[in-house]
Amino acid sequence: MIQVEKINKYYGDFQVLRDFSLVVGIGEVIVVIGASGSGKSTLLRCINGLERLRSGEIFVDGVKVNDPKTDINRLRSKIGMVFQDFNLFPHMTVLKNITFAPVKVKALSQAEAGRIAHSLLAKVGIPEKWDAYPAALSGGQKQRVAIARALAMQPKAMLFDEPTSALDPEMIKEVLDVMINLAREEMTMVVVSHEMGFARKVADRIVFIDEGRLVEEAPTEVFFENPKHDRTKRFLDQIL
Amino acid sequence: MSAAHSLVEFFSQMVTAQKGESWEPEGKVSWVDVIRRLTAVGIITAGILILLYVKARLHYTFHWTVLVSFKQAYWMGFLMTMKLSVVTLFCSIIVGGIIGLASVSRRICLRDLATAYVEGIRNIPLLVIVLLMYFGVGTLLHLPRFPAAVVALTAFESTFFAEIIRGGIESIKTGQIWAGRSLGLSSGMTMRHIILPQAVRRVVPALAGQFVNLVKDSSLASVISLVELTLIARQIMTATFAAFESYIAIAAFYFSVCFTLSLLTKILERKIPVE
Repeated sequence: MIQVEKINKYYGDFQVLRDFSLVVGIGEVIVVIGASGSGKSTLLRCINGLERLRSGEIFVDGVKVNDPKTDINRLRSKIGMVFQDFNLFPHMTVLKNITFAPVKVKALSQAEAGRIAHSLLAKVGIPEKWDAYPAALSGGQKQRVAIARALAMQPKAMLFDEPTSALDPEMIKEVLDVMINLAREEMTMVVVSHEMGFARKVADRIVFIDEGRLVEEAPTEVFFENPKHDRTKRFLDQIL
Repeated sequence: MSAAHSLVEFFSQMVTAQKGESWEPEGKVSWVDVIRRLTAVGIITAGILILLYVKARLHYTFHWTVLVSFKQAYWMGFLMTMKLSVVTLFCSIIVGGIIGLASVSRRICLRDLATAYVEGIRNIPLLVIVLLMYFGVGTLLHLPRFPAAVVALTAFESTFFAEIIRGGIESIKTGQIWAGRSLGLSSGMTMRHIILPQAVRRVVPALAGQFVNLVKDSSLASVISLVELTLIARQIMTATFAAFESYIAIAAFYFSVCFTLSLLTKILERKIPVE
């Protein structure tokens, strides 16, 4: 589903990703961990073409992301993205947040998009909030709306960028539950997160990044029980 | 000594009280608030007028009644000032909007052009621009006074509007662009439907504030003999030698328009919530 091949990414002179490669199969859930500034979020933004690469290639669903000939907007509509700080559109109601892109990009009718939006809101557990503005929602509710908004485009894969890091502890579970359900429905997911409970429960593989390099990549069980690299062991000691 | 001390005390308390007030949590502008502000300004104005009056009386007798016979002329001047200001406002927002958008463009040449325009015009006095536009460009193109004044003022004021709009756009978090683009919206759609609506909401108070400056700046159109408030006052002064009266009258005109506008700006500022 997603193939990242030897990408190098710089911010000015600073190298964020070094010869980074990763393959994500259909229906796979990958959890990416690493210290802050290690390049996790940049990796996600590269996957849906929000960042330019110095070198390397990325394919999503067989289409090359970093190719000027690619219809990047079409490709992006197949990849949902959820951000740490939600990035809901504050000037639109919850319903409009969710229906806006399907109507504009996929040319769905307002009624059809609305129907999808209401069913997604029910799925994330806040059907009653459809006409609220984002400012009136709690952090957990905002993030669930953001997930619904991404799902409304009926993406083939979802990218989560620390979806629970900006939440109060009591709201983390409601967001993780939504993500666990998604994983059970065989959605392809790449999740940057430090929620180890979540990782153990749903991840197929764990990827550990340090200073822009892929240090270790292993099936979840193996990764936690038997990490190979010293750097990984030290990191796990710190966060577990 | 103690009297001076208590006076200092009094004023410093006033200052801190006002500072505290402006950080009040958002809420409605109460009428009490408006009246209090008006009274404060009224007291200051009255004080200045009394001082002026007493001082001037030594050599000068006021003839306020002279003005009454010119009320038609004042009214015409007032209308022209407002017409000039509103037309210029309209043009400046359009030109300023375009320049503001250019200054956040991805194309370096557009950004450079915008910077050149803003820096170039801002560093020339408005008076010179007005003169240049009427006597220079205007003579070549046979531009009448009003359009020449509108063009000159628009050129000048649009640089401020452009900077306000640029600031507004840049104040929107990059995450909003990512969110729009990651949903498959094009960069144009993201700008139009996601960034601009939020930016405009944020800059409305600042734009209204700049309109106050525009109204005041419009008085410079008098140098090219556009019959607006300031020119009217000058003409009445020459005809009647009532210098104080004719200029104080237009000062009052400008003041009441600008003060009302800045009050409205304050109300707008409070009405628009900060996320």
